[in-house]
Amino acid sequence: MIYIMPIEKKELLELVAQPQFKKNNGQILAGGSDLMVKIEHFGFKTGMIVDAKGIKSLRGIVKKDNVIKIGSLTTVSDLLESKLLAKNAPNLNQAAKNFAAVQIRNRSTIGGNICNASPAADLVPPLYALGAKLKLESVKGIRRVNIDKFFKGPGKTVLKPDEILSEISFNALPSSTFSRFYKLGQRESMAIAIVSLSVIFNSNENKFKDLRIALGAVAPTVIRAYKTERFLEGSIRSSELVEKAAIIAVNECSPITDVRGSADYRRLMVERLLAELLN
Amino acid sequence: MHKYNISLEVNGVKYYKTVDSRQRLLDFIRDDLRLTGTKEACGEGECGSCAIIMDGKALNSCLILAVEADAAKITTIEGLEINGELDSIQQGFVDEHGVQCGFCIPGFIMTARAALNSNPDLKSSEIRSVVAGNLCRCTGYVKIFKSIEKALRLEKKR
Repeated sequence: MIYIMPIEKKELLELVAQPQFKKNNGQILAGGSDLMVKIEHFGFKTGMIVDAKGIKSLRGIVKKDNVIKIGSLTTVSDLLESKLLAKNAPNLNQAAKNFAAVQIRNRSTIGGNICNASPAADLVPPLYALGAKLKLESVKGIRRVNIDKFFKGPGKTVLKPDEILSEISFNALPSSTFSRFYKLGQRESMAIAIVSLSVIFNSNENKFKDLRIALGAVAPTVIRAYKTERFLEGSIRSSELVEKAAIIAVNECSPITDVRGSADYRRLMVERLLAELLN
Repeated sequence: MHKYNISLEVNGVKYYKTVDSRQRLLDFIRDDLRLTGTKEACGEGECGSCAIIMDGKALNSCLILAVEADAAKITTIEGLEINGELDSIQQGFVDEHGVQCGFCIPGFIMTARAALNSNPDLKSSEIRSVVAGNLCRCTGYVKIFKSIEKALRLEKKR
């Protein structure tokens, strides 16, 4: 297994564009908490590791013109410690808090959590609710993709073999905006989500405004509950209405039964937890 | 086989070694350096038994390649005792009888040590979340929390 650690982004882009990278089933290594387990426990074969951690310019959180920009190599601990995020994206901050435990948070990166493309990824529902944009770069150029157009299924994304995710950006939330993340797992730490939810909305004369609902672990990718959002937008908040909306959200899900929970349990939990979050 | 030269500092000692690219940091520490206090239990980042402190952060050494530790500064459980005197967290476990089979304890101690290093005012109410990534299959958690609580008091006296 070839191991290379570039220190410039340009070098990284050139490396992953080489035919040798594809030929060796080359992998970009960030935090390693997914890749190392695949290699060690699931027999995943790779002949080339490109360790991205040497590229300092891909790590950090900045706010510019009301837009928050997060480098893809920013660790989950960085997200958790960021005052900027606690203020401008509380739902993402909450997800970072519920993410695994300190040893993993210290190493795992936001870019890795996104590119691993798990439907249960903790950081993804908040980013869907925030309407995050992803910056994808290759030697050929840059393109930007909305996060809800990035995933194709479990473990599958629109990322081309020579492309990297370099930056995640979204508009800072005003302090008047309500935003939450909730994960249902076997326990508080180290648990993979059975169901996860993130909601964002403003309240205008007790009416839902700019409501965004993201649901995790209930479909092949994280989803936005668009029908539910449209149903509630502009309506006066009441528990009866929210309970009706939660049933619409259930019908937007297509959960599977797996070791963590049955499809029926997941539907029931979406119904109960969404109503609770919106009430 | 791809071999790489790495240089790193472990428990204050500088090492220059050649490692295979597939070798995990955990195996390098245990097999090459013969520092067997760092344990492997799950090997997939769930249990924290292999926790070490690398560049100031508690990390699971089973999820890190040895080559990734080039130029790093690492502390393992063997590096806490100074001139025969136990670290306050180790002493806390002795005083409170926090050890049952003992296999998970180095991981608990290293994780607690890293937390205390980065926050000397660590509160006892925060202990549970600090060691949430460490599993004890003797399930002796109450004694473990008490040991770390004692360590917080010992640390204040030093």
